[in-house]
Amino acid sequence: MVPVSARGDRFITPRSPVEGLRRRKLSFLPVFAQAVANVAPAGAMTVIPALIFPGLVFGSAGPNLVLTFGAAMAVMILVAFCLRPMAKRMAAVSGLYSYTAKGLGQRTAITAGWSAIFGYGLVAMASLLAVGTYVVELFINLGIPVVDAKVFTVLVILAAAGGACFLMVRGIQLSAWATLLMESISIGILAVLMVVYFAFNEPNVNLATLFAWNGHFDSLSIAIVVAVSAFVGFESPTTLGGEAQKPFVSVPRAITWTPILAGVLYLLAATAQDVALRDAPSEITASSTPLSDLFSQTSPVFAAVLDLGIAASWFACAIASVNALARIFFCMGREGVAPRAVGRTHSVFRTPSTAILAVMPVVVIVPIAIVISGASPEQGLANLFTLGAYGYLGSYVLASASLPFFLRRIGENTYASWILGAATSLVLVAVLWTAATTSIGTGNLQTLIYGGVLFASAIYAMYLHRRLPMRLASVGIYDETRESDLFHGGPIK
Amino acid sequence: MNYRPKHSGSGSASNSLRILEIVARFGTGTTAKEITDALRMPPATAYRLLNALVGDEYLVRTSDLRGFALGHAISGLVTAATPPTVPTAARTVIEEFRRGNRFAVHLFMFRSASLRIGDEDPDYPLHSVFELLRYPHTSAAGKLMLAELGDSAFPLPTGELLKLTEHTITDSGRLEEQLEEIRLKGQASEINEFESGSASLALPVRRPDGPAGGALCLTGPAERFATISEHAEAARELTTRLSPLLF
Repeated sequence: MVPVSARGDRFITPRSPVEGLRRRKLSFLPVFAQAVANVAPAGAMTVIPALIFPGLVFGSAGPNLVLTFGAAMAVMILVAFCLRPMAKRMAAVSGLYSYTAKGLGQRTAITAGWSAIFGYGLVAMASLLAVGTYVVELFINLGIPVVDAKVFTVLVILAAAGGACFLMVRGIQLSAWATLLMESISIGILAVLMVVYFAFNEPNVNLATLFAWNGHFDSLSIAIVVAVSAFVGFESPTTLGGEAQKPFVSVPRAITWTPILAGVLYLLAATAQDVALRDAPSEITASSTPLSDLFSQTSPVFAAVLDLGIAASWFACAIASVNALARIFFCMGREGVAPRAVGRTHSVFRTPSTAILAVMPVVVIVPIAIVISGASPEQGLANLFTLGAYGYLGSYVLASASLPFFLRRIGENTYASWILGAATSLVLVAVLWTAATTSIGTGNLQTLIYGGVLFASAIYAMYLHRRLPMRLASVGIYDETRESDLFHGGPIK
Repeated sequence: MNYRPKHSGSGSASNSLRILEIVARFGTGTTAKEITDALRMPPATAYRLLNALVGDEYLVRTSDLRGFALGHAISGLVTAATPPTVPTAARTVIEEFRRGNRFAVHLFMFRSASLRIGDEDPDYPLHSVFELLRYPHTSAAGKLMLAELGDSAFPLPTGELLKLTEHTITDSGRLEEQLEEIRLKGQASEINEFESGSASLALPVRRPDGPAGGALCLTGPAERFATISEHAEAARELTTRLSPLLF
């Protein structure tokens, strides 16, 4: 360390605390792909609205879709605006966890970190389950007989997990480009199919109903909660601060544009689905793969291509989620608040391989258990996604609230940052509250489970505070400026 | 702090340069507050410009994120704009070598992937200095520099290679071959490529850690290139004496 001020706290490190990752190599597109893949718009477009809230899509009592997705998009853009100033100032490797550490402090950061890990983990599990479900659907649509759907789904999940693991350990370059490819394919397929479907079927489009407003604020707020869950994951490039080529440019850009892009896609898809599913028979709207079933009425090949696109999207989402999760876990390992072993990086591929290999078994076992238990995949998906959304929203609340404190700590706070931070966290708390009360009202255990995670993280943070204050103090590592980043004055070639 | 900046320009570009100047003057660890105070700039403007400069790595933040320091991205500007200084001792040994030779002996320095004149032969002044510095593929010293850059961060010239004479190499494939040959032989030459009727031989002046930081260039009439080449060994000896004096 080279102290440059009398207080000794302003210095440039010769070695970064996150040494071992492939530094500053990832160009903008793969960084953006990480965000888009983690949101998995193609997958979410077809699954989430129809799945979690069937009434939302076609029921006449539901609030209108344009308003719902518009409001959810606005909330997520607020979050993006809160994260942006921090992403412009700190090359984070553990995302919202390290922002919270610098803002609200290390103890709160433990809760934010656990919450984020919970979110990424559950979405990764859900993604693998979705890959399994859609690949089976693909085979059925192609007319290939599947002897035992359960066993086949498990095999698909294992294969997908194995492939994802290989890509992630091999390098962020490879896995990020793979996700970019997958996402492009899936969005492309979906867009083309939508257009083709409507061109051939010419359903009775009644645009007036799309914008109809029935005046129920209750159902609107619940619908927004569901819609918000379709956006989560856009913040995941904040875990690539160390590996991105120009982290202070590409990361803020990616987290600003992803919710906008996803929002536009959702608005289009929601409109289309609303029209398409309105006249659909009830067994289709109740299915876990409604769009695919709908298309298979028209042509099984259509449906198969659609299944392929959706499966690709979820596969990319699994990779992106675990990539983000592993980097948070890796930082925790480096800091000593998780097993030190997960802080190791692969010496050749320069990835947090130990962390990836440690979390993958857990991420694989849950969807397999769901399949084997015989629970309906739609119920499993719905539960995993909503639970995951709690995790994301919890970390958003803490990170958004961190913004003004983060800026004050480095002497760059503005009035706007206080207003933005306060407004965003309040809106998010309202969203979480609505979700929780609704969920409790229906006798669902989700809120209890997530509450348990929060409680456990607070207990753990307290334990660290009492027993291992040195480790707690080291929380919040990021890719610091190194001596090689400085201008040295000497002539260069 | 009695620094009173003249508020001549008010555009973002001028303000960014002023911020860079302040950080260069105040040193590593300068805070945003110190910058806004010194420049009397609205904080919001300063933060925006600071973040843009950090984004492109002209500035970097210190580990506590409060302080700023000049980043490596500024090296290109600073080193290219600063004329090289050649110590008197180096000038003296070059002057000794010039005595009795009937051709020009120039010293060039490599700065941010461009040639800079280190020491010009007073008896045979350089012609077409702009072209010499701007189009390295046409001269011996320039080709030597390009050969040295081969595996560095600076890209080789792309696009169409300008034709100065009918012998100028304008085919990038051929240039690449020649650069490879230069790397092997450790010297570069040019006959009629830069200027009709003249020829040059360039030898690398190496830094202690290996790469060339400059070139010693012998230039004379094209028909006397063979005579010039006879002095290659003596010139190479001179470059080894120059290295510790220059770097």
